[in-house]
Amino acid sequence: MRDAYCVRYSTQTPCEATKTLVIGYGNPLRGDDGIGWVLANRLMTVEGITAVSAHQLLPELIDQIAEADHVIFVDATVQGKPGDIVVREIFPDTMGLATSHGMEPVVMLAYVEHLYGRSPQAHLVTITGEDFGYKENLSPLIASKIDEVQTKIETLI
Amino acid sequence: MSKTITIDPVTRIEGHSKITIQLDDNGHVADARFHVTQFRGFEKMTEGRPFYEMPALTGRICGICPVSHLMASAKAGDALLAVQIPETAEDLRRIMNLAQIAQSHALSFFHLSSPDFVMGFDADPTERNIFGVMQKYPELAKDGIALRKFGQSIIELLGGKRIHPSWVVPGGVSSPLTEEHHATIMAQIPAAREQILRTLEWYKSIFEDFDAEMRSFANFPTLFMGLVNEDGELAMYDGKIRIMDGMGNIVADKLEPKNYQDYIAEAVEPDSYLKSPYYRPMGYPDGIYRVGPLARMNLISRCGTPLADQEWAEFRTLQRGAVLSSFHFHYARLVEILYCVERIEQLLNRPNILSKHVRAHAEPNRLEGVGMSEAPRGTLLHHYKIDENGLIRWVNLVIATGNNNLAMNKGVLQVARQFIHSTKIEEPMLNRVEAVIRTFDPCLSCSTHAIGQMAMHVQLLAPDGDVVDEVYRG
Repeated sequence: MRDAYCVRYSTQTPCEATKTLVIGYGNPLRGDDGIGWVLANRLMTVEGITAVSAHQLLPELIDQIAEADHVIFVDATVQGKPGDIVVREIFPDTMGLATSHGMEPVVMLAYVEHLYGRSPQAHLVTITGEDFGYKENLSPLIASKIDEVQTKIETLI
Repeated sequence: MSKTITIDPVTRIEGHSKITIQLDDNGHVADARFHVTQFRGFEKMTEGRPFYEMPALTGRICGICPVSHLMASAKAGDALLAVQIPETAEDLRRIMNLAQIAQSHALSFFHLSSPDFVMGFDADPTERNIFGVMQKYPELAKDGIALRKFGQSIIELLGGKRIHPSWVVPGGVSSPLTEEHHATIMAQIPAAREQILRTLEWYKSIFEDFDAEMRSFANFPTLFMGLVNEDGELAMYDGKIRIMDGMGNIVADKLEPKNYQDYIAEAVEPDSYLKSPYYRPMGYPDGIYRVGPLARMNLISRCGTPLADQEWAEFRTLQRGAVLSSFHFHYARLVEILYCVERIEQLLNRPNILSKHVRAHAEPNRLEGVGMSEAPRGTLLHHYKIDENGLIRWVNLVIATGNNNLAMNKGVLQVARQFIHSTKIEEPMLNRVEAVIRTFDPCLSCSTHAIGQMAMHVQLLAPDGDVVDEVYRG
């Protein structure tokens, strides 16, 4: 098999990393699943942070992750007690869930590591949701947690 | 003793399915079936809804190709309103549709299929994946990500969001294109063109290495069906139906989409939720036909954009008459991505593309409407009947992937016979059986209007139903 791609192109070096990227993801039409969007939208006005809201984690975000020196993923979860906030550092893992409808953060990091030879420092912030029904609003409990989650995110930076 | 091999689930496709392979007493493949195990029910659940909700509702059928449903649904809505939408609205719909096709094809080629080309069909599954591709050809992987991003960003700029945009409506689109967004899209064109040309050059240098796969991946005569414009060119958004046989002869031409029931009928098999459309005049199952990139490349007299025309001409030298091997769906997808990039640029250069007149307003003036367009996977049709209040009474969806159901089944049987010769199940054999399905890039979430949760295992069954062997995948 010919190596046309290898012959024509040298390995690119990643852009010099200079910033923090916050990716809040989930479905804003499913109640508390929209917490990632809410937080990303809030953080868009905070200096020093680039914030992105997305329905799912997909390869199109790879470039932005590669350019960051720190990426923070924010998502709702069904694990734990409603209102629980968990912050943990995560690392690239090719064995995480990856489908054409969405990928886990660890797989996104693995994509970046494989393509650019490095992966930024990364954290996953999850908030246990209470109500994932068909609605655009957060539940009162989760809405009351927004400031606390934002503070935890800003502490990471 | 005869045995049945089941592949469940089929991997690296959209949606959920399984494949059953029946071996005879001598261990030879006697039969193979492709079963779709999802059930959705959109045709039923949308009854009673206002027709103008249908684009938004049917867009939820799929998170990968919602735009395709927006197009066909909105066109059915246009027919119910009995309006001719503004020219600018039509051009803007075309741009979004083309962007959708480009990103969907990029997903299929780079993320789902390239591991087979780059790592080889016989490679270990732990290497035969997108990470293997990234390791070996990082620039190919980057081009794939970039091309998908190109299409998704256009959808987002036009529709406000990448997934389930609600901008396409009966009568036109809900907002015009801004100068800023026009400039943003135009700025992305050169890089996208370069990326797809690079990919085409690479693919053309390697695809002939897969001789066994080309000969056996659903390589048989069928009809081909798709939309073409009045000049016989590629028509992704609007046109008339053309049907061609396996020798390249045009069987039927200039067929009106709204009269589809004259030439398309649907059969139902008990072991699958996916219906089997066929060409009515030839009956079932002789009326088997294929749609999608391979069909479109066969049907047209040219693409209609300069570089794609060159690539198309080269593609057509693969075989006289019609290109039959479904392996060449992959090649056809790359040519179509190039066409989409070029055509988007042509449309953006039209003088009225920034016009504010993008929607025709009316009340329903007809009680029945049909909308047809070309989705990434082939011809897609929405047919609605409404009452005097504009509420949906009846819906029929003929889905792109469904059109290929008969061919996928026949393809599974063909490749199983080529690569499975004993009761010893080896991974490369199973990968090829899956790979023939992947050539069609089926979207099973769409085609069965479904949700899928299913057990993931391979079963080997004796004729009396006893489980002879069981393998779990994933």
